[in-house]
Parts: sequence; structure tokens; C-alpha cells
Amino acid sequence: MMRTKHRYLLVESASHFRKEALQDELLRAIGTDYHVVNPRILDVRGKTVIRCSLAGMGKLIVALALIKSVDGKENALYTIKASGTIRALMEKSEKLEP
Amino acid sequence: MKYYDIVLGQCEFDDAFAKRLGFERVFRADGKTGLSIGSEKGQLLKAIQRGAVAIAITDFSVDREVMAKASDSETMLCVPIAPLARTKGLEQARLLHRAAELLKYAYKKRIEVSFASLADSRLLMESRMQLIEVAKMLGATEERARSGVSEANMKIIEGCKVHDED
Repeated sequence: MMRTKHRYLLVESASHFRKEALQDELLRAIGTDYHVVNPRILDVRGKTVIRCSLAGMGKLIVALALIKSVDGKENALYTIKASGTIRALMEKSEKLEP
Repeated sequence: MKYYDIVLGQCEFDDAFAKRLGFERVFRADGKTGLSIGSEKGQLLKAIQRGAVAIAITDFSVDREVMAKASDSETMLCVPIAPLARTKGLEQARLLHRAAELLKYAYKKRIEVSFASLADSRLLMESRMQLIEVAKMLGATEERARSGVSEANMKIIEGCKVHDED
């Protein structure tokens, strides 16, 4: 079986949100391509990381850009970095720290 | 490649936040004449006549006269992302369609296109990656999307400075 290539996105938000609520918003924003994107919201060392398929990464970034409320509350999600592994993503994230 | 964003004057952010979003700098469009933002045909035509560096059509309507004048006078088109992010549902879908049509027409007319958030609040700002992906979704190629967030935005900013000094 062919292994699906994944990408990990480091995502920051304007305010705290429930994981399930974001999953609902992503489903609404991505629509029928949800299975292609296949997003998984992870918590890595207190940071929000979303795993998705390489093929669906663009769609996920656009969805995150256009989502402006989560759980009925105003919010914003910023895609900061993308990487092929969590370790590389965390290294990139550390470089961003002041 | 260095990336730049343009926001509206009242948008509150700091340089550290701009850097986190992946931008070298985020500039404010302070409502001066270099970048004309609006949807009224008369206002946009006047701005082009006065030598505006770029126009941003907030309702994404394709007006052939405005686009022809912009093309003739080498005025750039700035595609604002905030109006797309501000809306929801059917209204958002309609705006996305119109923005894609506007972009297609601008490229056909050989108008230089830039992509900027033109956000009036921090919530409507986008990261560098998000601006590029939205541009690609609207029909720009990878190269055009990247230069639209990089060189094209810098050109608008530089042009605005020169324009405001006159």
C-alpha cells in the first residue's frame, strides 16, 4: 500500500479554542475535500500543530485563513510554519522564539 | 525572497507579530493617495488619473473601463484578502468567485497584481503562507503569488512614499 505523505503545520490563534470546535469549522470550510486534506489537530509541547496530507496542504492553509470564528467566538488562525516532520517543525518554531 | 503586507491605518500590531507571520515588514496604508481603496468606479478612475500606484477594488467587481485605464497607466491592482475573510457562507463564496474573475481579467490585461491583507484589525491579518495560498486558490501561479506578496507589495509601498512626498 502507498503511504500518504504528510505535512505538519504550526498554527497560532488569537484566542484559545476547543479542538472539536476547530474540527467542525475545518469540516465546514473544506467541505467534501475533507477526506483528501484529512486534518488531525495535535498538541505538541503546548503548541497547536495540524497534520494533513501533502496534497491537501494548500486547501487547509486557505481554510485556516478564512476561518474567523471558532465555537461562535471571534478568532483568527495563523499558519506560521510547515514541515514534513514534527521534529523539524519544532526546530523551526524554536528559531522563531525571541 | 522578502515578503511584505499592507494593512489599514487603524490595524493594531507590533513588529514581533509581523515577523512571526513571516513578513519582513507590515506597512500601513494611511488613506493617502498612493493606494486607492474602494469600490466606486468614479473614485477609482480619479485615483488612476491622479497617478495612484495601485488600486484595491474591495467588492472585486470587474469594470472594463477601470481595468483598461489601470492597464494603460501601469497602475497596479492590489487584491485585498480581508473582505474575503470577513464574510461567511454564500456571500464569501460569491466574493471568492468575483475575486478569481477579477484576477483572471487583470492578468489578461497585463496589470501587475499584488496580494495584501488590507486588514483593519489584527483578527483579519494573515500570515505570509496564507496570503500565498489564497492567491493560488484565486488562480495565481506559485511564482505570481509569491511575487505578489513580495516585490509587488514593496513596489506599492515605495510608490506610495514617492507619491506622498510630491
